[in-house]
Amino acid sequence: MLYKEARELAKSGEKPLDIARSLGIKVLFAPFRKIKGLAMSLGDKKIIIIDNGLLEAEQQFVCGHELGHFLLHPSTNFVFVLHNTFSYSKQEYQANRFSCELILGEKAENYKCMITEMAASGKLDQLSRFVSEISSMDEEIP
Amino acid sequence: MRNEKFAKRLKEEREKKGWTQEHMAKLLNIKIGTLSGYERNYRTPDLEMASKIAKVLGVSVDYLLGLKDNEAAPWWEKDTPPADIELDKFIREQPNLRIFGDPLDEEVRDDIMLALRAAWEALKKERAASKQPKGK
Repeated sequence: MLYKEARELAKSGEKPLDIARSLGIKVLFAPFRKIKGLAMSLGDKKIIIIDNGLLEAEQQFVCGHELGHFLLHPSTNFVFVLHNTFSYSKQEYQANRFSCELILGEKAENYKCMITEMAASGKLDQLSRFVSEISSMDEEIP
Repeated sequence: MRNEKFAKRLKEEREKKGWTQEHMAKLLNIKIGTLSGYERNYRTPDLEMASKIAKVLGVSVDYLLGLKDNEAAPWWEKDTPPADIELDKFIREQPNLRIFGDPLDEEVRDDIMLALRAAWEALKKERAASKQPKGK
């Protein structure tokens, strides 16, 4: 249920960075040392800031993750920080899963178990590789 | 004409920024004694200096003169860059930052400061763009 909206959004065929922007969220990049990404609300402005040292697929994943926070946890949307390895809170897990669903869309249905497992492990490099491989792989199979 | 409120608010706003009198005097290009005179309501700046003071502090002249009672604009809506001390206070007020358990470590804190400044910059640009709707 929580992730229905992610699949809805995924139907546009756009990637998380564009989806976030089309929702009126500002997406910025900064050369972070430790943080991978951060979501904050300043008054009525919503802003996502992503580490510019990440690979493109990782940036997309982090963006989806932060977007997940905004949509899934609106009551606590001040500042969320993503650490080197994601922390293991329930909210981080949910944001990870949201990002997977957002990137994979309907394809997520076939990989439910893997997504659950990966989202819980919370390793950014693995997660982003996993979703980008699946999303590009499926395009070649008619 | 002395203005008790001006003297008080000037000092308050300077301290909010975490600035010494020396630092602020340098920004205004005046002597410390002059600034200190303003803060003790012993001297009064001329109009030009009053607007210069408002500008470096990022508040309105109205507020400094006591014509308006609250300067509601938070740091991200002001055109002057936020001071470290303001951002520190903002960060401390965010309950979710305890998410790591530990108090913020140096590197994470620096990252967050960087992020807040990037956000300030972007919002400032956005305001400037909406004020001048010409161009592309």
